[in-house]
Amino acid sequence: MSEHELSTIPKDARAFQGQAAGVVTRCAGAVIDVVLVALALVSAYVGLVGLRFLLDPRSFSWPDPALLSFMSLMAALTGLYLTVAWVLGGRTFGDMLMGLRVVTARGRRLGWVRAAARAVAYVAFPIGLLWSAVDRRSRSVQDLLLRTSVVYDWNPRSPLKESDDV
Amino acid sequence: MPSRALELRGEPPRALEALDLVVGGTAVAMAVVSAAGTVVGTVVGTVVGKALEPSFVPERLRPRQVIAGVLRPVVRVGGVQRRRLTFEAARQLDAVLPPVADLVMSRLPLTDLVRRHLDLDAIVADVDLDAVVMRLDLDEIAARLDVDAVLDRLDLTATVVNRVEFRTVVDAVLAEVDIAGIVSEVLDEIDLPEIIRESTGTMASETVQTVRMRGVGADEAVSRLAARLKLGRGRPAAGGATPE
Repeated sequence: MSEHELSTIPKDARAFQGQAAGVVTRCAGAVIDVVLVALALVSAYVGLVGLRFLLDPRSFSWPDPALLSFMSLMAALTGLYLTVAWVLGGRTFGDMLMGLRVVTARGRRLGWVRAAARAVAYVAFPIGLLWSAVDRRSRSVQDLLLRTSVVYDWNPRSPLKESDDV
Repeated sequence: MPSRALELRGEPPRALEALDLVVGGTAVAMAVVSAAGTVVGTVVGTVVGKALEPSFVPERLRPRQVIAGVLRPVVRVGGVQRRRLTFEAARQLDAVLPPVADLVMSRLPLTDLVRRHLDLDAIVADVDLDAVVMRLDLDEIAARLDVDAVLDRLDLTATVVNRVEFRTVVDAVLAEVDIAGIVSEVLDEIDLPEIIRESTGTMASETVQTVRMRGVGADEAVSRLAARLKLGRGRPAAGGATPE
């Protein structure tokens, strides 16, 4: 960062920029993401049903939603969304709202492999996020496994360097 | 009388009269002495030496010696008179010379004469001005200067306006000043994001910031609570719970 760069971050929030984010903020971000994906999925489902109704209103019957397939679709979509968001922007929409950024131990953006592994780990074991409440540096189980961390970063643009992952 | 002219101008005639008397007296005395000398010389010259100094007469009784013995007191008196007169003349001269010199000086265009006959440039060229300046205590002179008064007499504004090349000066100043740094510092102080937020009144942004700040506060509360629980379990506050 250059010496004279203007900060768009409010004065009160500048002190903890770049510090490890706590469990409450991270959970809030995660919940927002999950809700977002669920909303997208429900919207897609409703859209598909509506399309079917429009195409053939006479023989239309409300399809029986298979919970298992819905959950697996939801998991896949979430994993994809998280991976793409972390690699391209370093943050998901929930992270953006809460002012968070996912970085490697060296403070850089995640690579595809690590981001995908992290996304799978979160989808499979979301409760691991709660470990950040007791960890000294607020790291979740996934962070510990993949050597990543989540920091406060209210800056709208990413000042981080490109990924150092292969 | 030459003193008449002086008398008419109101000069004191007494000194001049005394001078006249001295000069007259001296002349008379000199005449007497001279006459005496002449008489002696004539007598000596006209009488044949042999006659004056006959060899048959004993040395002490020869006519020349006798005449000389007779004249010796007269010569001595003459010498005394001469010395007295010289002294007197000098004394009178001391009294008379200053007014006379003054008179002469007042009649002479001295400045003009000096200017005409003296090569002042040559004289000044010979003067060692450096040595003169070295003997001056310039600090002392400067201390006596009323600098404020000097400055009052100068129109500094006009001098600056006429003589200073503003463009060069301003360019030099700007080259020295880190404008970007100053602007950045000022903006840091005035919290520009806050002002922009207030002026545009974007509720969404404000809400997001409030939520974020609440989140940070909650994070800190949780980490404090966790630290307290760890302490309660007898573990060190830092590092103990990290399963690395």
